[in-house]
Amino acid sequence: MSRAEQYSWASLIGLCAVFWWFQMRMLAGWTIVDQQPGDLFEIYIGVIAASIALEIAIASILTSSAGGKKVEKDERDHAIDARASLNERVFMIIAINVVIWQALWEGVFEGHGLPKIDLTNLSSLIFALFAILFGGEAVKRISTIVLYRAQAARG
Amino acid sequence: MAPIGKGRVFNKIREHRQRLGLTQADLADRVGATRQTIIAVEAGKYAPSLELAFRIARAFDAPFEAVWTFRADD
Repeated sequence: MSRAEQYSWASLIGLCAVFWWFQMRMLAGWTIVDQQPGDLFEIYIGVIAASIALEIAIASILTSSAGGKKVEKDERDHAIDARASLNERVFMIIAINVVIWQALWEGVFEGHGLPKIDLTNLSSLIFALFAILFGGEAVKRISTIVLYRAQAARG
Repeated sequence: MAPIGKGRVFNKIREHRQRLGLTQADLADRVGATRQTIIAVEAGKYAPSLELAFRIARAFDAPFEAVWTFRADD
C-alpha cells in the first residue's frame, strides 16, 4: 500500500470521526436540533479546527514513519487524485441540485411525503451545507481508495 | 490507408529489469515514480504517460519499441 493510499485511509477515518462529533452536536435521533447562532458558530469553529488538526496529525505521523520524507506522489497518484476530485464535484453538483429541487418542490407540492429540510431555519441550513461538504470529501476519499485498490487487484 | 482500431499496450519491463538485475524499487528510483506505480505498470494495470514510458525505456537503455508494443484488437 502506497503512502498516498495510507493517507487516504487515515483521512477518511478522521473525516468520519469529525462528522460523528458534528452530528452528535446537531442531531437528536433523525431530527436537527434547533440551536442559537452562537452555539452553531462554536460547532462550526470546532469542525474546522478538528479537521485541520487531524490532517496535520495524519501528515506528521506518515512523514515521521517514512523517516522524515514527505508523502511522495507521482503521476499515477495525481491521476487518481484528479479522478477522485471529479467524482467529488459530481457529488456536490447532484447534492446541491437535490437541495434546490426539494426547496422548489416544497413550494409547488406542499403536501408531498418526501423528507423535508427547512432551509429557512439556520440550524437546518448549517447542517445541510456541512453534510454536503462532508459527503463530498467522503466521496473523494472513498474514490481514491477504490481506484488504488482497483489497480492493485485487477488483471 | 485503413483506420487503426483499438488495441492494448503490452510491455516487457519485467524482462528488461531481470536482464539488468534491477528491482522494482530500483527502477522506480531511476524513473522518478513510486514502486507501486512500477508494479501497476508492469502488470498492465496502469497505462503510464508517454513521458514515463520513454523514461522507463531510457532507464533500460533500450529502444522504445523493445519495451512497449501495441497489438490491435482483431
